Amino acid sequence: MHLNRLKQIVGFMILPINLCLFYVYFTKQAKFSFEFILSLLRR
Amino acid sequence: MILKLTMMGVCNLFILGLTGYIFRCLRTKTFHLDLPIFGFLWIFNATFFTFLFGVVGALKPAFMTLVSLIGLCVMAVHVYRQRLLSAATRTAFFNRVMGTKLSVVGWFLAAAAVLQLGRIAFHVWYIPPYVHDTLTYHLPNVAEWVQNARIHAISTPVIRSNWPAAFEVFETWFVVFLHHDLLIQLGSAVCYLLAVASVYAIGRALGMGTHLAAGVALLFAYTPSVAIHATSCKNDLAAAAFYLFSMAVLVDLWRNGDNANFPLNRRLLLLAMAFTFGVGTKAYTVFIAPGLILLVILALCKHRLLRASISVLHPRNLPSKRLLLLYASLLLSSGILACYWYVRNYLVFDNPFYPADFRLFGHLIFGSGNPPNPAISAQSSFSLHSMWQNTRHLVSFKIFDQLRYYADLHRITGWGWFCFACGISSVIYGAVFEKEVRALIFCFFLSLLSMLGWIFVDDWHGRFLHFFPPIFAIAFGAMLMHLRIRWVWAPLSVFAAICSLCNFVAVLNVGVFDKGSMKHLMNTPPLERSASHRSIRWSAGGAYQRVHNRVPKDEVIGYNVGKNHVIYPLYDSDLSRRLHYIPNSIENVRDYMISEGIHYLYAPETGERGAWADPYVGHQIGIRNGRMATWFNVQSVNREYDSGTIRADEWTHLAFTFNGRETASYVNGEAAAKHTDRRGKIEFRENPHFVIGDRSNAVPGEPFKGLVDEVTLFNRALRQQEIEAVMNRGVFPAVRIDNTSAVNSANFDGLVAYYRFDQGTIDVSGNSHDGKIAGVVELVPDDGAPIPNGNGCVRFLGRPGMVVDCGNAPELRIAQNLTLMAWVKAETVGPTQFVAGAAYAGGKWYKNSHIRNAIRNGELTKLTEHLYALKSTETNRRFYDSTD
Repeated sequence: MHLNRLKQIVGFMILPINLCLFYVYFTKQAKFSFEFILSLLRR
Repeated sequence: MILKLTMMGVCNLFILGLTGYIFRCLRTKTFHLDLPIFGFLWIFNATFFTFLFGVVGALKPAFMTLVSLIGLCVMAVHVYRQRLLSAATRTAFFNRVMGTKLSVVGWFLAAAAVLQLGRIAFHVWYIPPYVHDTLTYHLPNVAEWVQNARIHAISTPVIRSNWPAAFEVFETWFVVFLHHDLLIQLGSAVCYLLAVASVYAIGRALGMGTHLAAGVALLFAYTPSVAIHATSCKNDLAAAAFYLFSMAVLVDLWRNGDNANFPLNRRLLLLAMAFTFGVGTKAYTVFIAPGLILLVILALCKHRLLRASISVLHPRNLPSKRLLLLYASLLLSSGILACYWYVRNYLVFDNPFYPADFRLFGHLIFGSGNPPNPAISAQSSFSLHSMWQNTRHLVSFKIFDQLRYYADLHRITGWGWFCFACGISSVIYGAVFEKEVRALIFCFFLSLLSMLGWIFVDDWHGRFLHFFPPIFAIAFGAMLMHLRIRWVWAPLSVFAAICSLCNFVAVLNVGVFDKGSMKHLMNTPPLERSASHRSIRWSAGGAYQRVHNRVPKDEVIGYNVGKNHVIYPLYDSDLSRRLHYIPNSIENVRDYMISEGIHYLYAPETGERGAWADPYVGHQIGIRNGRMATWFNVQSVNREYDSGTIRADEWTHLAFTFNGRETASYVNGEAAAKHTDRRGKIEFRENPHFVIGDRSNAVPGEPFKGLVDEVTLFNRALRQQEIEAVMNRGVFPAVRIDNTSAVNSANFDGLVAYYRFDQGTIDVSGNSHDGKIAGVVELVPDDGAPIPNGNGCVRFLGRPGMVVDCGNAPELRIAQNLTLMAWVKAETVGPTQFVAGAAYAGGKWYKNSHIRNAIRNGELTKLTEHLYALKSTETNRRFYDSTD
């Protein structure tokens, strides 16, 4: 029972952690991922 | 064309029927397992059918259609007698398909699947093969086999052509009928579907609902590296698909145990087929097998099936005679498909694993005669050092995907937004909280680590890891399954969808085409689209197109290229061009060409004056043959100077200056050489990064091995006394530790960048051109250059791509008035090693002096770029007359 509650609590914390990871990845990869769209916007 | 399409249709119908028949004997009556089983069997049948015709030299559409027609007739009689496709069966099937009602989530998932499939269909239809490896060694096999109607070891300098090629046989299926490569990418697309279906099956076997399992499969399907490889024509995704298919069969066994619908003997048969098919596709299937083996053991132990698995062969447990015959023939055919390549290589090269070596406990068992070559990637034995270094490189650098997604996955994993931002946390969550997912994660990691231990430490092995990203999606799905609170799992699901959308956007254009060339391709009639298209990467700026324009269709094209050169575009998209390799060993090129009836020679990398085919652009210093080397380019002329003497394992100071009129090289502060023959500005191309430890575009690179310290760049040419001062004392006072206190540069005007390596790889000049470590580069705190207060330095391992990258700010590319200096302590001083600089190097020295001599002697005349024609004789006058 306790483990189940712990799972839910940790699960609650996952989203903020994921957002941080998303930001880290964004700083590294974003300019390559969106270059296609950016190139269209620049035209 | 109609006839070709008809033949293709008949043969496909036959394979479909055959697959249906075998499937009927092997199916589990569980939809999620039957889906990948049917897909796997279809791929297997198409491959083996093509293989059989290829091996006997009858790889011709007419033969194949004839046999298919006979097969169809036999099947029709069988179906009629057995009433296999009764009206009730058909109605039940259609009712199931048509009666499926989708919820909102279901519609969303279906739309996501259609979106990705649409992208793949677009690629298949509009974009000819464009990936380097496929153009160098996968597709030339297909082209030669289709031309010669048989499967054989082709004559080419690209030794990788001799790798096991079961997947190329499958690709041949999509080419042989149309005699055109328009649909060739369907080969990898089908394997992609198998991989996705297998992930769906794993999800279902783990207890996920249909929507969740479909979502998990889609999260995997949207992984950039996987989505790109769905149309890359490379065989890595096929190997991963067979791995995941095996995983699906095993996870079901592990979770649900043995059952009457899917007995153990059938599972073992499918596993054996997938493994052997995998081994015939990619030898590294063996390297990733430990995870599967562990899961087999776990499953057998969990359900106490060890004894049952041993007694599978007991006569009492054997299936009926008819089934036994089917099992035996399937095992035999998959065994043949796997062993053929190794036996052939043993007979031809005395080494089944050619072009790699094979070692056992350090002893060479089979030698290839080839030097250890990271391009081949198999280092021929397991090494804990490789495992550790590759893991470090993966975790500390490659997983961040700091470059554009591309099929080569050079220096990236290509696992994308979802795997990084959702997958990592999910895997950790699963490993901590979910017992069964934990075991699965362990199996995937075991396969990953084993793989990383078997391959060289290099930048190019991201493509071997397609089997791994599913664990991120599976762990995420399992986590959602156990998170009960809606407002916890719902935002996570939306976030995962956003990540997948980022993945999708990122692979819309994989850096191959600009808008104009894409438009041009789309306006070209389908059958005229070709890998020789000038805007396709590796097409040498349209050189192949020019070859096709100049050489008549019925002429054989002789070619002489390097060991890793693109040759497939020479065949043209309809595979109509015949090629003949002219090796370097041919001394009298002219007589050889006449004797073979060859009038044209494709020979790239041939500067007529023996210069770089693609000039070296930028500035760089390094070492070669025990001397200091400098490379730079002024007024489009490449310059390379060797000067001074450098000894191994000895700290040596290198300096290079250029003031627009004169270049000078200094070794240990003493002027080693001065040149005044080039004036003007140094040219740059491709905005190269300033890189320490290798040249800027390291493909494959000539990396430095040893220690480097005190790399300094000035935007003026220092005098000798100044160089001596910097050499002996460093640039003082260099006190910047963080961004707040910059160096007092009063005495050293023009200091652009200064890397002391005492506090990491920061630029202590105050100009913030901080270096970033790429790959595995070691900071050595106490073994720096012999100058006061210069404690730290940096150690390079001599591996491609493992460098300190200082970025490509314009100030680092100095066209005039520059000084570039470094202390180095090299482990070896023989081979060329780049120490520091910003330069783009695109060419190679042309090594075949016989061909160069033939050009010099006027035996060959140049027609267009890289293309030469045999000069006038009575027998080939019309070619000479057609020259410029």
